[in-house]
Amino acid sequence: MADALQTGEPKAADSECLRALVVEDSSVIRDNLTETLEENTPVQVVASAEDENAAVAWLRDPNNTCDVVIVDIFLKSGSGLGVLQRLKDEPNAPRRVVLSNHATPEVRSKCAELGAEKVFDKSNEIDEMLAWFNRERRSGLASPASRT
Amino acid sequence: MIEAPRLKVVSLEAFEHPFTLRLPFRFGVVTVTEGKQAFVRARVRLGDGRGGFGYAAETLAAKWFDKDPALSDEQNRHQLRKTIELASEAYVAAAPATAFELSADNHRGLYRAATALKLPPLVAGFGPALVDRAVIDAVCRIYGASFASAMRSNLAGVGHHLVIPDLAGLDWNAFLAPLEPKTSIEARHTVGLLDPIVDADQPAGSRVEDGLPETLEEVVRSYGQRCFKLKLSGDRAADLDRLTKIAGVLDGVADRKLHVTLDGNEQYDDVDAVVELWSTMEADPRLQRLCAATLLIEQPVKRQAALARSVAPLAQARPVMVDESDADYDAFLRARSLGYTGISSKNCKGFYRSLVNLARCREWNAGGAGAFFMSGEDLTTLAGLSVQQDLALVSLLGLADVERNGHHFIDGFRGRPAAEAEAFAAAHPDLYRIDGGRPRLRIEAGRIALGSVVACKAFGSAVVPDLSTTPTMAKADWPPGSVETIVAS
Repeated sequence: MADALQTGEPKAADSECLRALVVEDSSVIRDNLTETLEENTPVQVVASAEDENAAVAWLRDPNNTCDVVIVDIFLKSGSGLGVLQRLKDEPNAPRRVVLSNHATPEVRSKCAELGAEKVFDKSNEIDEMLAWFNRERRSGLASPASRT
Repeated sequence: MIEAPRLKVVSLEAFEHPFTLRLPFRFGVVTVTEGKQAFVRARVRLGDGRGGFGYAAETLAAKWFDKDPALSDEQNRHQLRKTIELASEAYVAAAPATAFELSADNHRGLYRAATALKLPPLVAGFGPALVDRAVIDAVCRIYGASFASAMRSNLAGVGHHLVIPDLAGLDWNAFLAPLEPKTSIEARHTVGLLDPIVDADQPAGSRVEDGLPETLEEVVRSYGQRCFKLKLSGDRAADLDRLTKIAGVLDGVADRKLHVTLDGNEQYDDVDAVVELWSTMEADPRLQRLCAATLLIEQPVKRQAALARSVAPLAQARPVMVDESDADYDAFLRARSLGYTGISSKNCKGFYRSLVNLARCREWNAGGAGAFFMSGEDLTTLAGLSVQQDLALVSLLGLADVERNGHHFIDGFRGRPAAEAEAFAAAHPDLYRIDGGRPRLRIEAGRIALGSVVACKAFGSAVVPDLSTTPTMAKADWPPGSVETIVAS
């Protein structure tokens, strides 16, 4: 059974934000990442999930929308690759970004093949990820989900 | 008092290198002949824009953090690698904070994450402890401050936190400011369970002959030590036999006051068995001087039982100290209620933990008991960064002696780049001697000089390890098989 999802409180300037689903099994990293993203980028974490099934279930619920999924590879059950695989052919799937400590060339290649736009290494590319989100927001790009 | 800087950890990289022991080291349930040392390099950025790197090193010690015989040494190392990964991910993802906040705010979360992965609490603390050292090393280097001056001026921002509720009333600045680092320290020599005591213990052809002492007799002659830590096996008859043999050598250390600690390494099932061992020792005329010289007994009972029962019957004979049971900030509180009066300081358990426990000793002793103490113990700290950071810590704690064994079981910087060894030796000539062209720890009249370690403007080392040729740390295969799973998927 999928673990419960946590949904964040909407920010005041909601329309200015990139709404994100964070798929990460470690609560300490999830909490830190949420704080860092919300303090330093226009990202608003609207929900989080600990495993593959919970993430996909949340994404397929028509009541939920987000612009981007930030997904770890290792999850409580299933994997980030599984999330990417299951979203790969969905026409309105949100944009996908991988944040992993296993960002080997093989994993990066596999993630790209499965539709991830970017892969960031958890140990040394958080700054790059923050910069990427700031650039993306400035460029006005939005996900297919938020365009609908 | 300088305001503690808020910092962002930009990156954390981990490396490791193998090493080989010159002599087999047996403690607890394991005989170690080789190992791996972890290095961490942290890139830190302060709120004012300044940035820099900090470093830490520690042995990935098998069969100490988790003594489960079902786990291989490599699985033990994967457990420790996993905690480095967890801490690295959490710290890099964290919003700006002081160095202490970064550690304390993440403490519970990292322990929960480790528990979820079936990692014991003592294991859980390894990664955060290592990363905390690299972070404060970076702060020291950016500020041009020694570890002692950084802590005395509380650059780390140590203060009241939920992880140490018992110290809510402590004025941390007032506690830290007067700490006076020692500039030399007594080296307490470890006698492992396999160590040859006299020449006759070494079969023909078994000598290493590398110029370093091999038997206990030779150690005493070479280093002039008077402080010794004797490992116990948990087999009373075997321990008595071995202690008698050791006493035959130590009784010859006649010109200076002999100090002995006994380390059970969790090998006894319960405190009654240790009381029985001690009673037998006291009754044996051959062990009279050794008993009189014994200052404390370290973690004699396995951790599953150590904090379940009072050790008062043993503590009536000698102070009893926890080591392996010191797995979290509250361990000393629980241990104290059971009659333990001491706790070890080991950098692998976290330098903040050591400072917290020192503060507790001061507070409790000020209350009149006067019996609480800390003791510096070793995790086979290797020459270079690892041993120097541990020495910087025990110096600040003001300890009179510290267990040292890395220099005995590992030959200097063996396995590390020659240029690195030379750089450490040149920067810390009081700490190392050049012996046959190779830097080795300098112990004279039983003491280690710490002047350059204390004074250098970093956490214990004026120079940094050469990581250009040190392999990146392997990904933690924990839980076992997880790496294979992801690679195959």
